[in-house]
Amino acid sequence: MKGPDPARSEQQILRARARGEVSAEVSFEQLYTLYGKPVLAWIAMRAGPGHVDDLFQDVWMIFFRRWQGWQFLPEMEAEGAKPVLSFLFRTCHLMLQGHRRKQQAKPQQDVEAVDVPDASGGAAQMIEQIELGRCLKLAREICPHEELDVLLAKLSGVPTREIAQAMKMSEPVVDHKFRDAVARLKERLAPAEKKSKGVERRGKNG
Amino acid sequence: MAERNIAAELAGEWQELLAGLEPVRAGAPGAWLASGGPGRPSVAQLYAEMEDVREEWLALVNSAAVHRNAEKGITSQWTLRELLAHTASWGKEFRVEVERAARGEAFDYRIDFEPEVGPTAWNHEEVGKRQGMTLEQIRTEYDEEAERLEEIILGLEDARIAAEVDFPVMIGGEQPMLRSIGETVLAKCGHDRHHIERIRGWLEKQEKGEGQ
Repeated sequence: MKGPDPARSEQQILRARARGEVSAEVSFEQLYTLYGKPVLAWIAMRAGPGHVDDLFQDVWMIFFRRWQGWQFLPEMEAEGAKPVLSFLFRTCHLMLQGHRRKQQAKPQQDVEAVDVPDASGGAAQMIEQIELGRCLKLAREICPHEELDVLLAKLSGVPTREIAQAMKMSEPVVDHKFRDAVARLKERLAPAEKKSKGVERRGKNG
Repeated sequence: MAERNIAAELAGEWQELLAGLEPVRAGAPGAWLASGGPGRPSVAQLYAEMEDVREEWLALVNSAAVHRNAEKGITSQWTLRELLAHTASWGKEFRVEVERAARGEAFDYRIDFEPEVGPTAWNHEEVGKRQGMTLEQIRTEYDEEAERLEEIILGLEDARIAAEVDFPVMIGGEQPMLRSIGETVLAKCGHDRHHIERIRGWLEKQEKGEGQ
């Protein structure tokens, strides 16, 4: 059995596993190598730094359990199909939902105690040291939760149909939220002079 | 000045972000693999599992195929509607067990499992109690119990979830099943998924006209 190969695509890994060419353990490692970074980035963009490590591990624990009995359906051969990436996105989405509900249910002083950034290193510290690009940083600041989820999923290549299913919305709504997020960023990142001209023009007309 | 292409900028920044992450090793699965599997489930993890299976179950029950085939026999003893009532009955039972375990209460009843077969008598009694229920009533019972179970779990600390409890399930003997609340919730999710997958497969055959 071969070891993990980072260059393999999801479909290649799934096919090899379905044919019994790789073990469940090796293929799991391959998928972890392929998708560990986007999963970490999704969580880091959406949860407080003190929770990144735990949530990241939780997502992979869920996938590990599911992977043992994974069903290799014919749909996985469809062009652009990424059932594992879609599963990971849906799981992250549900985990973060649970995490938020759990935090809301806690008394305020507990929330503050838990939300202290994790100083013990690991993924959380790594994320904190990374400078986010201007657009991503702004997206995290100004986009509503759902828009940010859609944005991150689209950037990672999760198929629209799967985003829609995970977020319980229609595909046109997913596309609409993506366009809204981009428009929101465009508006905020517009050069200052353009904004002031707009204000001036509105002032003259009004 | 040319219009900024924000979508392209975002895509570039996303790739930069991913490239900046070290090969992910913190919390890597190697340790779990070596020890034979993942460790104890957390509250957030259990919530994700519960909500996932709840959505899958509701999507199934809301489908037109279920309504068309509800009164057909899916097992030698039950119709599809009765099998769905069976999942609802366990939804209630799991919630009751977790609620009592979370309060530290002992169980004053038992559910006998026959090895390889399961708790046949209990199952039939509970399905019998739901004989007059419509699909909509079964759906409501399942969904309400799932919501209650999620609320209970979200109110517990990880340590409470991991503590072992004597549950009322007896498998081929007198000893109650010793397991944690977390394991019980995962067992509930596994039970429901098992039935969902079998129902989906059966429905596919019915819809293709391959059923009996």
